[in-house]
Amino acid sequence: ATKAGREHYASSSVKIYRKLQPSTIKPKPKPKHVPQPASNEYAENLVKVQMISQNLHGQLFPQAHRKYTESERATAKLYNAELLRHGIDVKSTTAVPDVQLKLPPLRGTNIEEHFHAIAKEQVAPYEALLHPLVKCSKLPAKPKRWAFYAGWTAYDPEDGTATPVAHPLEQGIIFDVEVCVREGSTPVLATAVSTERWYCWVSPKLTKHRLSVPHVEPIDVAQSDRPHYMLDELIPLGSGAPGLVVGHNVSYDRARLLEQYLLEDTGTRFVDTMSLHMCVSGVTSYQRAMLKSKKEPAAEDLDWLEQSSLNSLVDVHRLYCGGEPLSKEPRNIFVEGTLEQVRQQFQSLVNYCAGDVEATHRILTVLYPLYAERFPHPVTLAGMLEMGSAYLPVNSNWERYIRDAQLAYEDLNIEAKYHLGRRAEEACALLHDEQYRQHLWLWDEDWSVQQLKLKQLPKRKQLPTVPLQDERQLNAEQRRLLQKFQHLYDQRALLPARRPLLPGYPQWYRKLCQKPPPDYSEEELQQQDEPWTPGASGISTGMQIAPKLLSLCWEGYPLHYQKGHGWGFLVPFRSGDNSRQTDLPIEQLLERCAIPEFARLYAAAENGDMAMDMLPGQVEEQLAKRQFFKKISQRQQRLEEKYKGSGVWCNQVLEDCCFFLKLPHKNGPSFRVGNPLSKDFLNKFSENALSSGDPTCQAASRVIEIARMMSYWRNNRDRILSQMVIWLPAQQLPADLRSHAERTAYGAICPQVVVAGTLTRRAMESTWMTASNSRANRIGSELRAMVQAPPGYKLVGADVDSQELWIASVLGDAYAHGEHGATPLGWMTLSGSKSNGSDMHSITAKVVGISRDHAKVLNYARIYGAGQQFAETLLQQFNPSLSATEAKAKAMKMFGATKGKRIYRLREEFHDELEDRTYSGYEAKRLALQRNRSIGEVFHRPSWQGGTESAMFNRLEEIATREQPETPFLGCRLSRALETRGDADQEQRFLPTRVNWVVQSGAVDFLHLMLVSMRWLLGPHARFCLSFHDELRYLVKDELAYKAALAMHVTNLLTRSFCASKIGLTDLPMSVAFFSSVEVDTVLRKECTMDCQTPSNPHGLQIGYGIAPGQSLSIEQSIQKAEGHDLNQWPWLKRHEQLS
Amino acid sequence: NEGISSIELLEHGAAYAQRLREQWLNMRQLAANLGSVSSKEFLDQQKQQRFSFVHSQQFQKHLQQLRQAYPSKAKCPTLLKYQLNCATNSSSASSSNSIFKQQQNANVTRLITDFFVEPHRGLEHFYNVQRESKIWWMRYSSNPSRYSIVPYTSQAELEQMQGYQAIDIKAGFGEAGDVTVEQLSLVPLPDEKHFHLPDGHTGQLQLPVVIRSIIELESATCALLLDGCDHGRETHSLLLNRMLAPYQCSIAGIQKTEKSSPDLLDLCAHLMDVLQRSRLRLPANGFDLIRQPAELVQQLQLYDCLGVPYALLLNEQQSLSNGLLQLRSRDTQLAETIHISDLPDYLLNIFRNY
Repeated sequence: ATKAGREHYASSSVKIYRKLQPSTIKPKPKPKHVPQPASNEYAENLVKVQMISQNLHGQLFPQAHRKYTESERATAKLYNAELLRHGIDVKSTTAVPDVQLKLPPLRGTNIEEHFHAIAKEQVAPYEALLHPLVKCSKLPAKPKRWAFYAGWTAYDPEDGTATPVAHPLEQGIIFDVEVCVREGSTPVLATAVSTERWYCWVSPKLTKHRLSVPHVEPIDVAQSDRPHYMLDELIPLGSGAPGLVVGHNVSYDRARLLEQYLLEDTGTRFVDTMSLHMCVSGVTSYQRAMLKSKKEPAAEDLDWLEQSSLNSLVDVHRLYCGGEPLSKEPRNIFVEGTLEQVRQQFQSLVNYCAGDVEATHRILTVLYPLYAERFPHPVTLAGMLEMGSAYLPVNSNWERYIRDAQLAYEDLNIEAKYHLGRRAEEACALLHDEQYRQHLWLWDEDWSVQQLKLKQLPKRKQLPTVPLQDERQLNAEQRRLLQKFQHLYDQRALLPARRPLLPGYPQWYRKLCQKPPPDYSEEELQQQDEPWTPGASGISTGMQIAPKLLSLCWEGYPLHYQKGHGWGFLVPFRSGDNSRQTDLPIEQLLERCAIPEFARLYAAAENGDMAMDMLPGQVEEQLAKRQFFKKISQRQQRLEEKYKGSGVWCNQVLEDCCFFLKLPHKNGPSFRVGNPLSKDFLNKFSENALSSGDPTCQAASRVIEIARMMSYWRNNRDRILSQMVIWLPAQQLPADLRSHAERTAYGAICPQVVVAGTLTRRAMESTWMTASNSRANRIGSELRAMVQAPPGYKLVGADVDSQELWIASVLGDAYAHGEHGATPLGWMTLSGSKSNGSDMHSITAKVVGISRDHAKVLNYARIYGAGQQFAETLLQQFNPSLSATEAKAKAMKMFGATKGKRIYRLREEFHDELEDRTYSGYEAKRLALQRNRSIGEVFHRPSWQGGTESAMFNRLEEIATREQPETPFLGCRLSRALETRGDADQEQRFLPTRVNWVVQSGAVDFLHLMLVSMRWLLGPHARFCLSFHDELRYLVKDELAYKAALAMHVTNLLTRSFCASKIGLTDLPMSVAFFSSVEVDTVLRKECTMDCQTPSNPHGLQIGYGIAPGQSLSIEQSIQKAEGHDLNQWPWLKRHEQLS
Repeated sequence: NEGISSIELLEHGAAYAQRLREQWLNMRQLAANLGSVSSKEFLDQQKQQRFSFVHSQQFQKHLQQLRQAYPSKAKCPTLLKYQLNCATNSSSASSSNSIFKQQQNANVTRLITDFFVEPHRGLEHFYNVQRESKIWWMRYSSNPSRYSIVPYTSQAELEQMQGYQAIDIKAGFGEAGDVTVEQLSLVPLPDEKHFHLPDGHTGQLQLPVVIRSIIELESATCALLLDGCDHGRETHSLLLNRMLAPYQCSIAGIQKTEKSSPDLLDLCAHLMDVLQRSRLRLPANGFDLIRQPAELVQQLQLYDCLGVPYALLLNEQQSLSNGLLQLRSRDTQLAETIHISDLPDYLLNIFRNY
């Protein structure tokens, strides 16, 4: 098949390429460019990509043979030429050592069957509990009256008799917890139902029973006003057999279950109806906004609106079950009320809680069959169950971290405040001789001064005598003076009742000061938390005056605040003359900043129509409004072309002598910058453009620095502080740990992960999954490293190397040529290297002429579905001096080289009229218009051609435009809200989202596969900790840490093999077969050598916390440390073998 | 400037150091103060004792003193303070304080604080003490960003000994270099019975670790004085912290005419008396009389250069008739109007210990 011929199969499935698979047996010539001695383990494919070692291939793809036919070799010449055309020399790689592994035997005949079998086995016990609940059409009768007993009570389904029980008797339940928010995060009551009976749990707090365990003073967390939750405040479910809990947003309920915090996993798993709903009917953010909007929906939205809803129980229930809307009114008592109110309304509140359980059950019976149909592979459910059991071990260091971060934050706050206060004091002196009028920043502050005046002495009235202190202590002279001036003291009565604050000081300064306490006494001092201090004590970096006091400049121009536009800066365009009186210190401005060229042009043409533009009041009468605005925009356009900086024009002229340009906002020119010292602004733009205009002001750069350090903590503090940590009593810890427990408290956080929280089924969680890596200038950014394995345990995990890139590129490879690395993108992903500049980012960087880091951002943006427009914005953000035209040119060049050209091919019925060749979008539109038809009627769906990524985009679009798009690996369907249902008009709608979904949802499949594989390899010996994006972490005992590391590597191998096999490839490149490294560490951090030094952890983890660096193990090191390459020697896998 | 040359720097410096010592005593109130000790040893030998002081007799004696004099404080955590007077015997003694050179045989006063803390929380306490100390210095400074925590440089010494930590708090003066104002060291105690202290919470006997803070009063005073000058403002003010300033408030009577007025003189004397009775620190000469407007500017400049944070200005015309006074601030160069009846409370509030 020729390349041109392939284009005709644009919409066919991958199976076509199966027939290209080798059938003839012909020994492969030894690679000549490989320097190492030829081993019979080495293998490479038609584009010289090194493939997995022979022994691995034999175990993973037992049916496949590594032989190529003549025709395949001939075809290979074509795509090798294409690679060369994109500057790729396939011979430029070096081989990596081969790997010997003895994997446990696959279940079934191939890797696909294997994963199906092991996942089926893993979910079997849970499906056995779930299916009866799904099939149960009528729940047991709800008791008429709920007993007010502490702990669990079971209710007889026949007569409603209440019997106290330790925990629900059945393993499968539908469950809902209620929390009295004002009283803390622990549960106050809960209801559950099984197929047999109802249960209710009531907190001892509510019944005022004494807790079963005496309260223990928290270790090491003294002097803290933070809540200290203990295990016995939670709901027990019992341990032993695997259990299954169904709930809506069940992770919230899970975080209140006792056994979930124990170090040993009890095997209970959770099914979240909210996640199931999102899998089946999830929406994009645009759609979510539409669902929330009260406006009448547009016609094209009606279709999907019927298929989806928001995520709350009420909305989801309405969508799947209809009927009477659920009432959420009693909920307010839990949100706002007290425990006493809950006690008073106990019956109705338990009924409300039980009502939610019933609703959840109704949803489950409708939703689960839909889910099971659309997500047929058992790996999907197995992965979701695993994701729902995330567990983060912490210890006393958690409280210390919070304390340190708070203190560091306060310290810096004080420091910044102090600097600002000093600057404010200094600025006061400008009041003398009205010097402030010449000050470029403070000229428009309120400099008015109040005077302290005495009231008129009332006529014929004696002033009351102010009692003075005991005169007996005074000597004669002192007494004489006191009496002499008694009349002055007496005039106190003439002072105004409300004394002005700081009479004699300018108004802006007085606003920053506080009234002193009326009297002086030492006792009062002890009582006040923050005693009064003189000076500008009320100042902070968030205030509008702060940038002015620091004399901040943007691109050298002084900052200025303008109502309605936010922060901007002043650019002069004409010198003041004596005839004009301006408030603005134009002379001083000109002294500092010469009139820039573009502004000079403006002033020169002043006598012409320019004046009209800028004096709208006068002009409006003479010109039609529309014309007038048009003129302004033309003028503005001309000026904008001349101006090269990053300020934003807002058509504002001040005092007829300078322009006001807005500071750029990260969200675009229509946004206002409210505070130039805020996080977003500093992060984006602070590089050089923002500085102090006062060279003597050392404070400015320091305050900017401080503002940056504080921002992370300010933005994340609330989420971090509200993490619910449950502290474990010593008797609940494993025996080895108890000796440590005297000094260190151990606890855990069950992160509230929504296992499928987005349209792409990615998990969502607001603290841990958004946590950035530790940065030296961010307070509290050592957050992740505060998840710490208890002594005797290790955290083992890895990041999947360029996961999404590989998924996207392998889809393209398989689709276009059925060979790994046969497309330019594929080859760059597999064999490109940063060191010789042959990886994707380096190549883009070369093509566009930008840095590799910037290229990386652009590349990902494009693969995520961002268009050329977005790339232009990014380019300008990276380089503010780039003009719009230049940015456009660069973006075009990049898209041409990567995505390629969009081409159209005629439908067969038009072959008689027109030449059968490729047409451009413009031509296609024109030809269709001539025939009075739509493009789709004349042409096939367009495809991409000529770029490094064309094959990938063609494949992604092919999947995304199907009537029922499915992920390529596990056959997971797209949400109903985004399916086209065969409507051609809908095809282009949400297309970028759907294209993005293919890769992202594919990545979720990848993750689920890894979770299943790890469970298969390690059984109960690893506890799942956390996973986000491409990262996976497990908690294992020390002695198993290296085996777990090897299991991680093998998991990568198995998962990628499965994915490759699913899309018709029967081999796997060596470069992606294993993780580049698996981290064996004691804390959760990106790299095991990161010391996480931050302002709140100035000494780093090693010195400050005594935490040693972890180990980073390659596949070779893992094999060595895990004592051998034969996994069948692992005791539990041995037993596994015997069973199967 | 004639006025400035007449200042007795040494005397004022000593007064300032005295204030600093008072502030030190006020900080960390938990302490048992063991007063002042003179040592015949030279500073050079003291320097070697960054970690070895725990073996010294003096250290043991102090711990014993604590048990006897303050039995209720002899538990963990606790802290004791004392002042050590000793002398240098070579000119290069203060090598760590690169800006200042100490005279041979100069007297050195060391303010020493020893914290005894639970062994397993030693590091945590150590970091807290660092932080607290840094803030303490920052509060007295005209530029709080001047202070930094620098690891004690003798790494070789540290690496050999597990559980030891040491940092210096330094005040930086740009290119001129920096001055160590405080040394902090974390030192485990030798496992000997007489070092054991009961835990404040559980009462269990344990071997505490010691965090020692050393402030060299003379060099710290110089550093703070230098800090007061190094502020980058256009004025020549000496920005001394108001708590530490030897003179807190000066009084100036402004005459209507060249002729001196006995009433104004009396009012000045009266206010001086009022402030002094409230223990506010005033210049020794009490008050100044201003005969012409130009003189006022000069006089204020002198106050600024002396580092007097406030000046009370009495206007013959106004103050004598209605009791309104001007309280002029060194830092803002502005004056606010107050009434005679606001005194002395208004000023006491300003100078309240924080």
